[in-house]
Amino acid sequence: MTNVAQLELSQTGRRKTPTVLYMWVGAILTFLAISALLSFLAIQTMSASGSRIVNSTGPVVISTQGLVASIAEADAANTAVFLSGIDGGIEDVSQRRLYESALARAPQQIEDISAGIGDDETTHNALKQVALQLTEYAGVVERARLANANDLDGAIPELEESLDLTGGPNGMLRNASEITTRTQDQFSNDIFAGGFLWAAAGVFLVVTLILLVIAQVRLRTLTKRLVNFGLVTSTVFVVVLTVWLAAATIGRQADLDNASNEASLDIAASASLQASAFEYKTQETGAIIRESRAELPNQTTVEAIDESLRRVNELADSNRERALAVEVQTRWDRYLDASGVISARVLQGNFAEARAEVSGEGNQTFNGFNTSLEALLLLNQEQFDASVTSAESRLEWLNYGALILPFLAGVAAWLGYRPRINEYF
Amino acid sequence: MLRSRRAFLRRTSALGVGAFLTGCAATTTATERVPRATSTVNIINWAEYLPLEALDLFTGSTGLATVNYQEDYVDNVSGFTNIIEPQLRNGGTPNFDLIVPTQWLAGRMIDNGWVEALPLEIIPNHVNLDPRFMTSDFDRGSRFQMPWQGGMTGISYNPERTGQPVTSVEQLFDPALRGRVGLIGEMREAVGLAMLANGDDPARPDPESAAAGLALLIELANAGHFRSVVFDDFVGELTSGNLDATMAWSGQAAALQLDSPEFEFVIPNEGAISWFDTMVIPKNAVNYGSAAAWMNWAYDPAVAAQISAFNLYVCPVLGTQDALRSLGGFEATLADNPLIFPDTETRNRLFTWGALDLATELDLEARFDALTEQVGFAN
Repeated sequence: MTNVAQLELSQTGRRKTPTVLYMWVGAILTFLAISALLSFLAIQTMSASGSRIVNSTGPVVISTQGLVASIAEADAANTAVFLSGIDGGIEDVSQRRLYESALARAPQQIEDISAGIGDDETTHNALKQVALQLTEYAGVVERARLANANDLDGAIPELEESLDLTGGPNGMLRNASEITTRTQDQFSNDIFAGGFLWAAAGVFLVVTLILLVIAQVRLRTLTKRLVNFGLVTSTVFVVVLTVWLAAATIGRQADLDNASNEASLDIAASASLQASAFEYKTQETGAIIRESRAELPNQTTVEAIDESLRRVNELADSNRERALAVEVQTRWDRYLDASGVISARVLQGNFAEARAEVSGEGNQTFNGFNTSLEALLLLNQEQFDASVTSAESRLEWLNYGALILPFLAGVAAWLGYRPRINEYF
Repeated sequence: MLRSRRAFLRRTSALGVGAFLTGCAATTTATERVPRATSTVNIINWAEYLPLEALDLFTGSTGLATVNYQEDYVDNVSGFTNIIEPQLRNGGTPNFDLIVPTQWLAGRMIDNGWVEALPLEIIPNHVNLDPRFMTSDFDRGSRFQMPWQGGMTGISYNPERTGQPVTSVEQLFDPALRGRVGLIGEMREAVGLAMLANGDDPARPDPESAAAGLALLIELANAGHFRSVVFDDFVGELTSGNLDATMAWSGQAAALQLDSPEFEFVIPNEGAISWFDTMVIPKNAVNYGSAAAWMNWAYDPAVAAQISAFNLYVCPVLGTQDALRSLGGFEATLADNPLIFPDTETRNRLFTWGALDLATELDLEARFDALTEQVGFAN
């Protein structure tokens, strides 16, 4: 190529930019344009997925676990109210208020979830089912309460139905779990959105850089200038864009991985713990209201809780989170102490005392556990939000940079090839 | 004391405007500030909430050189207007490290992002927090505040002067006591009791029922029913004979009974208003770690037992009953006092003010302040 260019120059005898060099600049400009387009599209795709995470995926995961906590708290309080009022006992009004307060939070949480789940039909159906079940649950609780107050036979079956609606195989907690799973899948997709475009943009930028370097080496042999400022400037712009794009996307990915850890792992572990603990409590209540020793919490549930607690401790990645995980463990142990007394009463056949223990210490300690777990969840949420916000801030201005820098690089490259007096040999 | 009319008007109007303006402020973020040990801590609390000799115990157990403990928190309105809002509104560095507003105001501070998240890693005694205090909607699990003491607003009276027991809000509002009754200066408690008299539920207020409660108080005030607005000074007003009966805070009423058994404190038949004052660390507090050390110290059941035995308010610290029993004597009798450790029967008669939307609450506060201005403060 160099020989051809020199021949062309010598034949024409005119001091102008050789045609082959126009071809070079054309190639560089084409690559710059493609790099700009791919970079811009990659950033747009990543921004869109980031917005989805900020406005949809994250809030849905968190609100769903908040909903689970509300249902668990409402049901624990309702059970305490019911058991305190059984056999003509005085209903625990403070627990009734706690039940009402927890139940009152649930519709807003459902609304928050609904606003963020997009158009996924499975998730919509699961949420719709939870909303219906919640309404049904409130009705069943009132019927159970009324029957209990009037000492009617139907009271216990109504309470059993309410327990089934919350923790049963097709209960609200199961449906909430479905929402969480689907949303976490969506989150995983969003994390990697734009990855292909980003890689392609990177390849084109690197190729452009190589072209610019070769061009400068070639021009040194054709011109009197040691340094072609136009091409050097162009190279600098491309290097800046390449480094900026790489740093921003790698940093963003690290932030999102961190968010993923908070959202998918920590929250999943907390959710699993919440579900297992609730299952334990439901089994305990079932054993009391049906006066059945065989229905006391089984070893599988206990092991699942131990495993979840271990996982929650293991995943805690800040001093504060570790402190909260320790508190969750301590409060669970307190509940287990109360539960041990309850189980002993059930095994002795002393169901009246077992009921009193559930309404008193059992319920209080369970609420302590449940609320501290909720606090841990809220901390995870804040960490998640902070990571996602940081991830999104890394793309700030980059979409402008992706268009402006290649444009400037193109102008500089073109200027670098412009003919100047006596420049070419 | 901030009981002058002008000062009160100034602080109340600023509370309303300030709260509105801060509605758009940044919310508390997830940033985990690293607590560092300092040699001092500046605390602002209500009066008669702590035996001051306990301060030496704190410095002795934590190694801190200085505790600047001020009993300057008179009421929530002046506390907000004179202390909290001027120092925290613009994100400055406050001259205090820990303050103890009532729970509703703490909730507002948290919403405004004016409160540091608690460094739970150096507050291991957080685990001693009674779960009953962990369910507030504004701070589930208590990550931004730790209750100092709870209390009940009921009725304190002198049976010799009333001539008959005053066991209900209805009786407190009876024209027979006209001109001899004290009105508590906290809106949620006074209006809450009036709502109970109306048969409404202050735990689930709506604008109409709350307005009806306030209207009842205004009607009574217009009829000259209230002699004065009181805070913790209700004790002096009762003992001096200025008041025959008053809305009263449980801890000081119980202390009054110890000194003067002729005075009675009752949870009205309709119910009482429960509340708690809670420790918060303001944003950018200089001695953040030391404030956390104070919280941790206060949540040691042995310390909490001494605090409860002093102020007789509702204790939020698990294990305190056992600690009181182990002290024996007078302290041991407090372990079964339902005013400090409410039993189920007592709890069933308590109502915690439920939140209304901010605009409605501010409107109620403004109208209640006008009412207190009309009635006048005890001197």
